[in-house]
Amino acid sequence: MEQNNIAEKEFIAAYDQFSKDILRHIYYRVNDNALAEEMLQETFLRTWQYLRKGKKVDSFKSLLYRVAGNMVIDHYRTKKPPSVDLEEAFNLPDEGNDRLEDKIDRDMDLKMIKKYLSELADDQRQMIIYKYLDQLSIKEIADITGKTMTNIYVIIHRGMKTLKNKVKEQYDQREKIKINARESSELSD
Amino acid sequence: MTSEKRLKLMLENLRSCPINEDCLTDARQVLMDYMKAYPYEGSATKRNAERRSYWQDIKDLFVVQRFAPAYTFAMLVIFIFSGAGTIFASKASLPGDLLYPVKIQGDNFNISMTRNEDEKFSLREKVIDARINEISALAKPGQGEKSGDAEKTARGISQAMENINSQVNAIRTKADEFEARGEDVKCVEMYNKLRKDSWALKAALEDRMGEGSGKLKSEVLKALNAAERIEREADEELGYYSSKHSSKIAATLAQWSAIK
Repeated sequence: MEQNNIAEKEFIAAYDQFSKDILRHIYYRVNDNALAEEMLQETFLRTWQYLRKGKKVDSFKSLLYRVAGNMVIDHYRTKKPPSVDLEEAFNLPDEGNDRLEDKIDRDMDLKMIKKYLSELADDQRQMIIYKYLDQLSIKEIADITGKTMTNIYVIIHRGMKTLKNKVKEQYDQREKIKINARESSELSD
Repeated sequence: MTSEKRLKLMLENLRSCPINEDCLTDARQVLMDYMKAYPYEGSATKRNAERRSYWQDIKDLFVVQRFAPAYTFAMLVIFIFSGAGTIFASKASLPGDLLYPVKIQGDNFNISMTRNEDEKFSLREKVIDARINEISALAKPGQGEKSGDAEKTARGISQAMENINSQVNAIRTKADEFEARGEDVKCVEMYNKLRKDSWALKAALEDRMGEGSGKLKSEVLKALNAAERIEREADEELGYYSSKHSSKIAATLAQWSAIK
């Protein structure tokens, strides 16, 4: 009986610790708030079904991400994946004390990175979300996905290379626009 | 701030998306209710598992382990004698021949048994060369002109190209690993070789360009497209390394002139 209580308490503590991260992870994978919330609940219920039979796990965190990841895959198997439009998924909070110019830049940056992230190949997007949004180590990602650490490193590296090139192109364009605007205002003066 | 750092910062900023706290509270309540309805039953399940494992142990002891060494030895002897003969006979085979898949498997086995990465790369390069020579032999004018031969030649080119593509992909993956480790010189060497391979492949197919009809023509066209793709990708990568190192050199020179 005492063992039952310990297991249940541990699991609720895991919920309190990881539910936010898991929810955010699912958000970025399925791009649907209501669906993500539903999947979060299902993730924890399924994990409990597994654990209540006395199965031992090394890490609650890895197990929860694995269950959530499988649910996302199941979801896309039964339904054709929509074109992931992360632009519409969130309205990020404003930081009140920003200068207007900084705020515009920051907003543009976030919109840009969300757009480019959504354009990446599925495995690259998934690994980058694990690494930089969920802040998991490569070892943890390997545990969750079953891929080798080298493979994960290569996928992340390729994805980051693509993102970097796109961001650089975007910055170059912005810089050109700024220079043109400056020149035209000087001419008009 | 470098573009790499800025990119990582942007990605980490995405963590600040708002979370619906009500949803978390509701889900927590549902979870607790569920846990009450389906409580922990670990110890009972464990006892059943233990009972099963005794029986499994006894069964394994009498059924599998007793014959295992003799069985393995016999299989090994048969495998070695029949396998070595077949591999030897397959050496002279061309794509489309019956023994050709054995030759491919033999090459793959050699590559997988090599631990040294440089040797592995040079083996892959040798395999690509061999496949290009085979394609060259198949694509000679006059080949595949008899009825029925065209199909065989087309199949042969397709088989050889499949192997070339898989070797090129393996080399590209390895180059990515080298790049991740900062060994850019090796990457450049690899892409240079791939570029040369693409030229050799195009030269091998030259005699056949625009000739023939049906499946053979389409296989030649596919192979040419693959050669173009290999060349284009190698060029892109070489361009990337060239610009990367030019900007590094420019930055160093700028630093030096600033110090002066």
